[in-house]
Amino acid sequence: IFVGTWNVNGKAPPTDVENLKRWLNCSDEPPDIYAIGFQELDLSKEAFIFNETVREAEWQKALEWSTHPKAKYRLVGIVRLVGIQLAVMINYTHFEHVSNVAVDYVGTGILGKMGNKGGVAVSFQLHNTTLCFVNCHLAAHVEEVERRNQDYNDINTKINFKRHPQAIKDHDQIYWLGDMNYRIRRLDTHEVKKHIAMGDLNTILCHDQLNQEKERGKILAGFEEGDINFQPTYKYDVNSDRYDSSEKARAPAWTDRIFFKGKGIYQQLYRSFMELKISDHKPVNALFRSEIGIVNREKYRRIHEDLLKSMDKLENEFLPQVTIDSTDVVFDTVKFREPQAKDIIVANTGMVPVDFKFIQKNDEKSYCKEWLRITPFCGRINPGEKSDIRLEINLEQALQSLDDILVLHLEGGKDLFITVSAKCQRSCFTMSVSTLCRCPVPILNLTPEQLKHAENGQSQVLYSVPRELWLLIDFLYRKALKTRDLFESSALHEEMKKIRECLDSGTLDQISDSPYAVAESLLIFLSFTKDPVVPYHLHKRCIEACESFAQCKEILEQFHKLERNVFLYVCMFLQDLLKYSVDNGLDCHGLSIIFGDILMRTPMRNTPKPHCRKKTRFIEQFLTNDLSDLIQVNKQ
Amino acid sequence: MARDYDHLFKLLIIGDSGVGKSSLLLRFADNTFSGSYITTIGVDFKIRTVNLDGKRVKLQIWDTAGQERFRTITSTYYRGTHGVIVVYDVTNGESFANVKRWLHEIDQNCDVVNRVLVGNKNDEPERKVVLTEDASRFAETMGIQLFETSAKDNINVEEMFLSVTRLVLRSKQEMKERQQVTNTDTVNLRKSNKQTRKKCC
Repeated sequence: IFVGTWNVNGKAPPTDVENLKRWLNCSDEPPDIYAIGFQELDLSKEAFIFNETVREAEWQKALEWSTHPKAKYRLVGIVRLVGIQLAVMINYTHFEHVSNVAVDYVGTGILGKMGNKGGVAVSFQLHNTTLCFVNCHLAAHVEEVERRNQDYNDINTKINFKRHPQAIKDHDQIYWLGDMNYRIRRLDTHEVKKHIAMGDLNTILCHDQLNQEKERGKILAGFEEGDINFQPTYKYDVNSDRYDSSEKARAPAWTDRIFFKGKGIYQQLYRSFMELKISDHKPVNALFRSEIGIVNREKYRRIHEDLLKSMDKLENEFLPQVTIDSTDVVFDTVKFREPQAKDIIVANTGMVPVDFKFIQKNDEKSYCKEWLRITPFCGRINPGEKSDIRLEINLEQALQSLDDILVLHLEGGKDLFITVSAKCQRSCFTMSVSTLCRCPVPILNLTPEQLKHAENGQSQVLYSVPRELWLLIDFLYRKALKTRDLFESSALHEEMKKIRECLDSGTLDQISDSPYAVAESLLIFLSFTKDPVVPYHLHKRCIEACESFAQCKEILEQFHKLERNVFLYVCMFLQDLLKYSVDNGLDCHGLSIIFGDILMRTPMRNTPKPHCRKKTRFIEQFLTNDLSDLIQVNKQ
Repeated sequence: MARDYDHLFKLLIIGDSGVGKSSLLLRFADNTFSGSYITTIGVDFKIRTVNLDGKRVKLQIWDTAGQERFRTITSTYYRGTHGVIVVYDVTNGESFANVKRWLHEIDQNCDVVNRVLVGNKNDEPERKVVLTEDASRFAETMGIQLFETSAKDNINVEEMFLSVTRLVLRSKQEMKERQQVTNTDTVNLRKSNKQTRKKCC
């Protein structure tokens, strides 16, 4: 990078550009970048007031003519504030890698903002390195050190490129050049000239205001400067190498300087150029070997992809994960109202807490079938922990097998399927009255063929009421007419099970020792027949007719014959029971409530209260009136 | 910027049980392969983000249980899917014969969806029974692209997933363009309506 600064004292470029060329060509190999700053490009009032000048174009043309012959250059950016101008050019082979070009300027002159003093800057990115060039012209005169410091700080803080990087300090590499205007302190003109003549620059440099201010930390913090091996570049008589011979006889000074800051900058050259004599300043230039960061596209892409992959991996690892000890839960043969339970163990094998719940599948109403209960059906499991989920089945319908697929959903994650299955043992409970009346043998002894024919009503009706119903009621006739609280005390589960087995398999022994168990079995039997004893479609009419026995009797004639038999058989039995109410404590109303609810059960098994009362009333009609004529009809 | 991608697509892998759906997903998402066979009982997904045509596309890829008994449940997961990958096993003729049923399943459960056909386990030529010619002829008649892959040897897996993603990306862009056209149409119609009304007055 060639960085040059020259206070041209308002002069037009020389017509003979030979010396300009020599200034700009200080190396065999062409520089990649030229950054040339001028000060006092135009001293006219027009330039000062209107910021317009023909000099800009003139000097730019002169520069373009004079750059290194081994390369072609393109302008990256040019910026000018009155007479302070900065042009950055780049070898055109690099131009495509230039991006993000921006310029700005700050005036620090009269009123603290006019453009006779101040700074201009060009910022851009080359490949992956951001560069900033600043050209400044600070306040003049020996005594104005503080003013110069302030100008510097104003420029440094006020330049704003209005994009990233915004400020000068935010760049990877900064090159600061210009007419800094700092002078030599405490040495008079004569002494300075003497030391120069002796070639003793170091003595004078010790008195350089700029070096002193920099050391005090007032300006250019962190900036470096090459060794000054050239004599002061100000102030000369025009067209000579002679220091100011006018009356003022200003002391020579190194007003024109170049600084740099950033990584990978190596200065190759720092010099003044004496042959350009048109101004009272001599031009100064530096040559840098600067490292520019170039992104390896292939490597960048690979790293980027690796990064994406590792982020994806992390996201996948943080998905909820569980394992289940069994996704296929098979129960033993399930029998009527004999619940079975199995536990599955859900283990959180992932990295995050899991919120699980069982969800409905397809269009089903619930997350599981009505014969299954899942506890808990939702919950949270922490990483490394396990949770038992209990699956409980209870058969209350005439089904051949139980099959369900449960969907266990993990919040924000996967779904697991759990299949639940069991074979069912058939039972006289849950069968229809019609089927039972056609069974020649107990239900478990039926051949599949016999069962099929009984179920579809093809085989002959063998009994006027189901044999099982007769067995239950017969037992109660024989053993329980005088038993108290008959339908109110609940029996032991084991006794109920025994009765059911006895009825299903037809063992002819005593079906039970417990009247309570038999009475409860009777209630259950009537509660779970495939269809309610009083056909559902007649319930409404029964309720309407409940106050008139005559009407109730009419409706009874609408029943299927076998259901009518069952209904009357039960009512007759209850009437007989009530004959012993002194002993057994039963009353008509109480029995009507219990049996009304069972004989006239609705599919959902929940009846509105007013209907309950009327159902009770309907049954009461049949428990309080003489049924003998109805039974006569039956016999015909 | 809360979102670190330009598009989010849902892809679905379907096909008979044991054709290697989970293995394809594992290869694509984790670049791993496990020789032991664990049948998928449920629906699982993994994510992977890819750069495609300058866009960052996040893929949420759903792997489904292939077993017949889960068919009706898995079909509910088709909803909202952008692309479906139908997989068969090149060493199993029946799995190829069933492809038609799977394609039918897609038609039943998805409105518009991009599909590709994948013959997996294409790594042991002596065991191959579904010939490439037959498969590609079938794919051509169905108007879908065929890929023969091996999740085990990592052959063609990446290409296949990127292809279906590209299909989805393209159809999304086309739909966007079409919508823009429709939008301008609507404006035009309104304009002409106004004009007619003016004339009436």
